[in-house]
Amino acid sequence: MSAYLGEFEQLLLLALLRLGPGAGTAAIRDAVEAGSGRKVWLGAVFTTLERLEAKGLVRSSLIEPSGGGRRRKIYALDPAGEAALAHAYDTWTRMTRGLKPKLDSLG
Amino acid sequence: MTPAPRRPPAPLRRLASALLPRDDRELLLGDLEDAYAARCARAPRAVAAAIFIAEAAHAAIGRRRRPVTVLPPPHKGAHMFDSLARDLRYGARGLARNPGFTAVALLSLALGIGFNTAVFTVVNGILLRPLPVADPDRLVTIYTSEKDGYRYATASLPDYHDLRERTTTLGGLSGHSLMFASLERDGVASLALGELVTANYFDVIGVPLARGAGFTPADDRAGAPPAMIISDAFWKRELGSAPDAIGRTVRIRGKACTIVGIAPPTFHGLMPGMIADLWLPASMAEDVEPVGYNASTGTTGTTRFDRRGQRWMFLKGRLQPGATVEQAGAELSSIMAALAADFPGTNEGVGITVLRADQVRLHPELDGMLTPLAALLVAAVGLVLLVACANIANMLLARGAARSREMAVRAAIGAGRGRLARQLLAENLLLALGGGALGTLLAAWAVSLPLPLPLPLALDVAIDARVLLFAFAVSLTTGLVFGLVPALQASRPSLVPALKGDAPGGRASRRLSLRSLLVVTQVAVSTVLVVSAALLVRSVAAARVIDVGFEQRGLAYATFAPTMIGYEDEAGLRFFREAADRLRAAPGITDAALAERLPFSINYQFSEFFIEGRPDLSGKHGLSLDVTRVDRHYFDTMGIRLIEGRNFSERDTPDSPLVAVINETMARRYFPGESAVGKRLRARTPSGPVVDIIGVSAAHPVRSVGEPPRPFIHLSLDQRRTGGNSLVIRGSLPDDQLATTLRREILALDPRMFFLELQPYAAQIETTLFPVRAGAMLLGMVGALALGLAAIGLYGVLAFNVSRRTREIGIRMALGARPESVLGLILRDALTLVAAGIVAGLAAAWTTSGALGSVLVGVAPRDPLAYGLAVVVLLGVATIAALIPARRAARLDPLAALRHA
Repeated sequence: MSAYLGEFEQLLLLALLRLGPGAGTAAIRDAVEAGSGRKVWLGAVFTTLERLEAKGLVRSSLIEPSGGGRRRKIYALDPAGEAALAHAYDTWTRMTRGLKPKLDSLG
Repeated sequence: MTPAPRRPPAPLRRLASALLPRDDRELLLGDLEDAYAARCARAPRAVAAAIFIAEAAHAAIGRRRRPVTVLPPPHKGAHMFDSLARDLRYGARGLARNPGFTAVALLSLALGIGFNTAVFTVVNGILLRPLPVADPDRLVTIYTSEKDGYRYATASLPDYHDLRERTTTLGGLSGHSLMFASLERDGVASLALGELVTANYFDVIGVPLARGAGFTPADDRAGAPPAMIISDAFWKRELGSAPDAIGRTVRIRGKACTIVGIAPPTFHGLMPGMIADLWLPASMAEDVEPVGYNASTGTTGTTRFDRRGQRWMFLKGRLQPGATVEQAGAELSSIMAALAADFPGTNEGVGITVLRADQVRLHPELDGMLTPLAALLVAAVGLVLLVACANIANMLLARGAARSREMAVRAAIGAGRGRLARQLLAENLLLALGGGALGTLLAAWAVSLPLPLPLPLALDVAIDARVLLFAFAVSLTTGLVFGLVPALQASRPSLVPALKGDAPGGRASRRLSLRSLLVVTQVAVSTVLVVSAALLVRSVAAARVIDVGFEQRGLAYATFAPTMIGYEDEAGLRFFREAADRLRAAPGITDAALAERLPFSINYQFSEFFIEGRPDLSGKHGLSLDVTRVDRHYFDTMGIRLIEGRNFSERDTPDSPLVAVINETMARRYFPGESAVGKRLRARTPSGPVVDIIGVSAAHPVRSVGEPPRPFIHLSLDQRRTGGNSLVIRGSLPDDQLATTLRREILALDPRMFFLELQPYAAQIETTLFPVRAGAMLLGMVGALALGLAAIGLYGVLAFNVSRRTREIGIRMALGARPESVLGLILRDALTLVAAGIVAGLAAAWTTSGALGSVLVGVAPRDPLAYGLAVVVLLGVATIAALIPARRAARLDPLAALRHA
């Protein structure tokens, strides 16, 4: 059984999957903005990632940058997160199968 | 190694750090800085910084948007700043929850504080900023005094040289005078504002040049190679900050002047409030137009260099170590007395006044008038701010009433009163500082607007540290003034009724009446302002169609001075005549004429005249009458009718007897019941030159549209060998093309010529309406501000009423009152207040309408249309302000309102 994923959560997990382990909040935000075409507040990404971590879907670790600057958190998909994403993806493909012509005919 | 990533400026980082909640501060900041660094690569840094702060603020609010009703108890030993930051964060959240309230409060604060800051900026620029010189307390300003007791006149150059040679109390004495210089750049001439100075000027006042060696003593001598010092702004603007600017030349009135220095960026000359672009040696005075007192008594020379009676320089002296202002005054006075004995013709009775330079702002006499005026202005705009404060206090009280339950719950679980008050105060301070920041931006925008003046005057008013400090102090004070009472009020909930849902009643009624009175007063003040603005607007419209005594369409004129680009005096007048001949031959032009002064120009000229044989009329000093000199084409060109006698003609030459055409008003006043033609005037003294009156012209306003008729004398320009000032043409072309033709034909004669004025005549008449139009604009703005504040005040009172009467309204509705009747109930309250205010305001406007009478043209001071318009505007705005709380009341859910209990 997988946890229910909100749309924004899905977007973040997809971005993380695309970027691979070690992505920071700002990079994830950029990926979401690039992919979805909408403006996203950094604070919202931060909070949502925190929630995803609490659900056990992503893992985070703190790194100390060598060239100065602040400590920051980097993220990686947890196997549970990968499973949830796969589940959501399967659901989506099953539910959308064969619907494209119908959607287009509506336009 | 890659360069360290860009980080936001430290103050922004600190601000973001203070905003963010402590738990996630470190990590969020890291992410925000990451995002900033990435954004810097693809956007301007200012944009990245703005987004950085916006995101930090969003994160601070967003991270806290959880249902927190109780603040966490302060950490043991928590730093005071931490607790303040927490209060501010909580306050920001509270404000974000009520965007409507926040926007209205911020707007009215921004208007109030912005208005104050703008006025203070101007006052600061002109009256408060310290003199831009070294040791201003050791610098003295030296004025000459006149026989007639006038104590603050300028000095002549010969007197300056004698004072400078003989003084021992002053270590240096320099002279300066404001000037307008005609500058030629790439074949285009323009007018620049600067100062004409003695060579030692920068040394005496102690301003080291940023570049260049500056003037040398040789520059004081007539005939020295022309040199100039330019301002930092001029260097950057005109020369593109060229590193090799020193040694380059700039042409002034045809003379190539070598740049010998660049002033430091902070120095704009010694005329407060004005920005000088260049400094020329006083020895070049004949090449520019110096502006000074220019009293000429018993002239003893041929130029301003050797005329001891021509006083045009301001003097600044540097005290010797140990010398006092009094000693300098005594010494210079005795030197002046010796000069008076040597040169009685020019210097008899002329004394000296010495003042510390930092005690003089514009001019000792002006200062005496300006300081109280400035104080009055600051007080008046302060009053506006106070009203804004009262209004916000009202809104806060209404809000406090609505939040009394929240406060009571907090108090019940142990928050001390001080804690609650501090919390609310922090919220109010946040509002005040936000309003202050917006207001400062508003002020910066307002003072950067160009002055609608026909001269290249740049006012040296800018937002500096002093202004920022002022705005900050005003904002803080404002926050305390409007926030303290509501904070104390709201932080003292009487627990039991508040928890039960009873609104604070009891003593409310007395406070309410005070508040209502405030609203009535505001509406009344707005009424007066709106009525006045409406009158002025109507006046501008009416003046456009008023009869000025001649047809203003189809006329254009140019004012220029051939002598400013190197023509000798006689050649100058010849140039004017040639230009007029040329224009008469141009297509579309029917006539052209010359005049020293045209009707409605700001160039007022008076002269003393005696009416021959009538000492009873002329008095001891003669009649001081408005006068102009015009050529024989003038009356035809302007379309001014001759009523009697003849026009000037070719027979009137410099060698023939002097003749004049006077206007009808003058003829009627001084020659009632007889013909003025054939009568004689004496110019300047009872035995001065004889002037024959040869004609009488139709009267027309002379100085401003709508003025009462005044005597006006036309002398003949054809009888002069020098002079000329304006050229006016009439034609069948549209006005704009007339002006274009005028420019084209004059430039065809000499492409170097530049124009002090060149426009259709109608535009000139428009200019004379400037005071009326500026007044209409200013009053309109202040009126709109007052109206906006009054609307906010009304809204505050009604909102408070509604929140206080929630239960009553609930009961009414439960018993069957319909929403419309509730709406009517609240609107009736509102209209009572507004009607009282409007009636009081109309009465005040009616009784004081006489004051505006002198500026109004073609409109009665009690013009019913203006009054009606004002009433409609006021009622409209008031209704909108009242509708918001009224609709809220009408939409109350009776069940919820009652469950409140």
